Amino acid sequence: MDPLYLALSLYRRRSYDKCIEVCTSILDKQPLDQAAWCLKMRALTQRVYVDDIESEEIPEKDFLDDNVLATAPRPGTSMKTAVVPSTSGLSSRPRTSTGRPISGIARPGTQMRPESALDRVRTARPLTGHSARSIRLGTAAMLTQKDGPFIQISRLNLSKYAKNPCLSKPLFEYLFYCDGGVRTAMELAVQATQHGEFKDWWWKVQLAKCYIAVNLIREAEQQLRSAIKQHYHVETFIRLTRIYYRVDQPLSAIDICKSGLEIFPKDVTIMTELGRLSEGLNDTAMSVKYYRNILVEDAMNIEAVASLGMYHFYNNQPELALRYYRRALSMGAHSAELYNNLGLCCLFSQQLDFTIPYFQRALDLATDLKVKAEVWYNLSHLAMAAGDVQLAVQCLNLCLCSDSTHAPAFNNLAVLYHKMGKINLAKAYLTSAKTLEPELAEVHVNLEYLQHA
Amino acid sequence: MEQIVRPVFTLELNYKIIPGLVTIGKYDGTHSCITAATSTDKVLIHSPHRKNSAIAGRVLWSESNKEIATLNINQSITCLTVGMLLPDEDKDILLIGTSSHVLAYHVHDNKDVFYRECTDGVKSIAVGTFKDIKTVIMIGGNSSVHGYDNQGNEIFWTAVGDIATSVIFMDYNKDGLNELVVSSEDFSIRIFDKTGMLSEHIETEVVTNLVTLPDNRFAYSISNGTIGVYEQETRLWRVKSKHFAISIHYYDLLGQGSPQLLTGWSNGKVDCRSIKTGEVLFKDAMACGVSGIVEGDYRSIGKSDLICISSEGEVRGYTTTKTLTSSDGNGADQNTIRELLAHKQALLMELKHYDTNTKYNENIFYETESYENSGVIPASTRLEIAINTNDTDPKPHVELSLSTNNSTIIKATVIFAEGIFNGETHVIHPPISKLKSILLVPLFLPKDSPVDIHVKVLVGYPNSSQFHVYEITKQLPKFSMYCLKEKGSRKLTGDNYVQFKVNERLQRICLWINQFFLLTEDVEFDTGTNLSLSFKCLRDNTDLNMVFDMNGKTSIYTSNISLAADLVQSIAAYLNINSLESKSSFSQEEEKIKEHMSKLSEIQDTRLRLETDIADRMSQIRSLIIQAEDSRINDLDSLPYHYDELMVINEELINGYNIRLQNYNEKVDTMKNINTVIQKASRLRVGPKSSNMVNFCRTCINNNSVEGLIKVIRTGEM
Repeated sequence: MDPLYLALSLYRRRSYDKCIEVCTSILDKQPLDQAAWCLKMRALTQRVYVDDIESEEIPEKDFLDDNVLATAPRPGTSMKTAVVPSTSGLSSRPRTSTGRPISGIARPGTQMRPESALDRVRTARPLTGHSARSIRLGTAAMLTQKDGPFIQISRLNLSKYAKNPCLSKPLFEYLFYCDGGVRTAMELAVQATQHGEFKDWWWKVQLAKCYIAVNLIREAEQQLRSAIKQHYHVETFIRLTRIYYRVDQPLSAIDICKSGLEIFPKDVTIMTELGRLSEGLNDTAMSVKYYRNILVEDAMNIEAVASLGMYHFYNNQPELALRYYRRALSMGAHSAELYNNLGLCCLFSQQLDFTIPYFQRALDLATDLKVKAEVWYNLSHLAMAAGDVQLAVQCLNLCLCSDSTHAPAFNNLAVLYHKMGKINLAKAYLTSAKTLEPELAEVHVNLEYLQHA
Repeated sequence: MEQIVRPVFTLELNYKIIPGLVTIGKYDGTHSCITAATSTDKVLIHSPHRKNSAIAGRVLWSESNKEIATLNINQSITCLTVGMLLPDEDKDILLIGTSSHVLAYHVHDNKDVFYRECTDGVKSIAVGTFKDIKTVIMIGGNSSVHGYDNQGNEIFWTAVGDIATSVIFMDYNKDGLNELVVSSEDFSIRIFDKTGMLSEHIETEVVTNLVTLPDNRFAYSISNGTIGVYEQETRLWRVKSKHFAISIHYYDLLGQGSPQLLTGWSNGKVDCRSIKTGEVLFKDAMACGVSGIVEGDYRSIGKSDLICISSEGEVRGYTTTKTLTSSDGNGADQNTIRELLAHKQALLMELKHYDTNTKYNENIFYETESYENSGVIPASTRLEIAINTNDTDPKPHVELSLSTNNSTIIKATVIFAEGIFNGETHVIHPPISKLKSILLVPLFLPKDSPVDIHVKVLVGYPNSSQFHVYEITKQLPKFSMYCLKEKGSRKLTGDNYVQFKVNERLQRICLWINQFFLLTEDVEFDTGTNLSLSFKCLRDNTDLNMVFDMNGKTSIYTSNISLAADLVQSIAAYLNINSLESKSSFSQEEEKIKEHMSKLSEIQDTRLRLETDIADRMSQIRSLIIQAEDSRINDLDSLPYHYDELMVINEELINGYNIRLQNYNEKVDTMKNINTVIQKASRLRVGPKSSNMVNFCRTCINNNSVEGLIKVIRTGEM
């Protein structure tokens, strides 16, 4: 069989490693075979390709940049100052320490550890969303290159490749995703757009990607806007949305999404984005509307299912929530958070027989200490519902073992100890809860109560 | 009759405010918010009406003052304006100009209306209606003025010669529609309508600020401390101060029923003047320089107050004083009486002088010597004034010769004229040994513009203790610095020329020449096919040849494009020509354009590379800081290594910044040069042809087509 045909077939069947091997052997014989070179590049890229829209971590506050324009925007116009709904039970919904509601589904931006930027400097955690990913991509690519790098980047004649439309795009993707050399990729993109007389929208989007990677947000915005003028593409809309999210202008982001929806009616990706944005702004009604629309289009969308489940749970309809979460479970989602939510739903809908097994599962699956802490915290509620104060104290203690900064757990412990008559101990716990999370309202109320008692 | 007006409120912002960058806007449609640029590249929004009950999340309210919110701009702010941009909203949009971008920001909704790059820089912004365009954002750059609609699309463009320091809209010619008034650093105030320039005022220094006043007037301030008011072509008044006017505003502070002009000065003085006369009616002083004066309802009483903001962040609010209105009529009467009394006194004094003078002149035959002692000169003494060109001197100039018709001498002379001398006055005071009855004053006119010179001459005898003062006003014609050469000595053609056609008799051309040039005797046209004149420029000895053919074909040969433009404009204005097309060739300017255009594209390329460089270094810095902090915990030995590297990158960044700065400055210069040539070339045409040409040039620049640009400049056609 023709080796190139074989390589192509392997590529199509996603056997990238084999494809690379075949390509390498072709290139050994004919070092200047452009087709094989191109295919190898594509295969290498595909191997490490990540969906950089969904996995994007939007740094909450980059310590070197002030991309956010307004420092004190009006409530309701920013992710930081979303209006807290005063009606319904939704106001009491738990949030991550960054202030976002927990939906049980990981989304871009929610994987961030809830620490301040300063804390992250002290630990080895990444400070910026970008640097972590770029390091990761870079190292992943290195593994594949046993005998030296596949392409000597420094020797690349970029202007030559920029003029070749067949090679420039694969080369760009290789440089961007595989090599992690945003700089070189950007240079290639700049030259290629110039060569194409600024008519190719694809290059503009890529250029914007590069600009985002090096934190030139406004330049990226310009590129994306001009790309949209030439060609409508969902990706462009989403990326533009993300830019506005990043400069903390959610209303602009929503405008972009809505204009996108006019061109791509009922597009799931855009509606998901809208759902997330509305939820971020605490506009639950809109968010639920979009998630329902998503489910009409795509009944398998786990994010929508989970978000609707969460909505019903906090709307005092645990039975409905249970149905949504079971649906998510039956579609193959399998995580500690989901079991935890299922357990809670069962608890509140009085299906006590299922509660303990679900929490058991959740504990088995929880590898992350923070998640484990949350599960124990929820278990303490189960114990309280059963009237077992000792068990509740134990659960809370276990929660604190996993996460010693869990302020609500301290608060609840204090309440329990107060019930047992250990007022001084309760005070001590309340004080530590207060130092950990000064915004927690319950702590203040409880402390005041204790002062007067 | 100065009235004390006390501030109705004062408050401290506790931020340093950049002078001039203060505005006020109703971002929610009802409540005014002072908006100012702070010295740390932030925009401060003071909203005293904002209730802070709904603090949610981690709002970054200012620690000291919860009424203040700031916007991070990250670039130095060059101007700040508000305006209602969106057609169906009553909320003000904040426009922030930086050296390279303009941001239209919806403060209430925290979203961008648009954000776009202005390659020419942003030096001034105005929002308003311009002719029939409802809402237009005019942005004055380093050498041009751009107009954008509310989406950020360019809808207007014109070139001005230098940095546009201020842009305003006002109804200049009382046609009910707004014109555009632009002041620029080349000392001029230009008035544009959609087709081209309507009129131009030349000032003595850089015009820094323009403000629209009611009744078709506008006020201006100049960097030498002058402020003044124009009504159409006429200047109502102007005053000069040793401080600089930062902000001008009009407001009826004294309750006179019509507004007064408020000026905030760099030394903290705030004064209130009558718009018509410039008379000071009220004064106050702030602790430090004024940053801005705005007007807005800051006490929620339904009436706007006048608000002064100082550079240290002090805010004072004033409101209309009501007590004054009743005493107004009475005061006016008293004023008139006082004025009339003063006038009477002056007349009596004059009469007395005449009396003594006649007494001496009657005794003239007995005591000739007494003239000198008593400070009197013969009644027949006349002062003669003549203005000529002098090209024999090593430094050719316009010569003002003053002479008396008898033995009296000229002790000194004071010449007052705008824009000729440093400062506005020139005093010549010859040493006693050289006192004569004739005095020659060389004048070097830097620009071709008509100048009124006011001469005061002190006439008397060398030993007199008192002198007589003669006051003379003389007007120098526009093209004074050109002298006529002998006829027929040189060839009358050249490579650099502008040609056009005027359908006018040559006699009228002669009239124009006699009026606008400084000639010893009038030029007259008798017979022949053409009228050709040859002049020499007194500034640089270059030639200016003009050939007027019988059939109307006119050619002006000069290497100086701006002179050619001035001549064309002057002829067109004199002959009332509304539209004039011309062909031109100025090889030097064309070379310049070619050179600058290629330089510009080079600069653009480097700029992009430099920008990515900086961004790349920034990401390096990020990872280095993480590594350094990591090694502080894990591996102390490599800590200095990381910090060393960080320092190196920091230095590189600073170097990179300097390079970028240089690159930017070069770009600005290049753009300015190109725009200057276009502006001059546009003045070689008149009326719609001129504006067409400017639009063609804009298209050519956008397409980066050098040949096209040169062709447009040559022919005015695309």
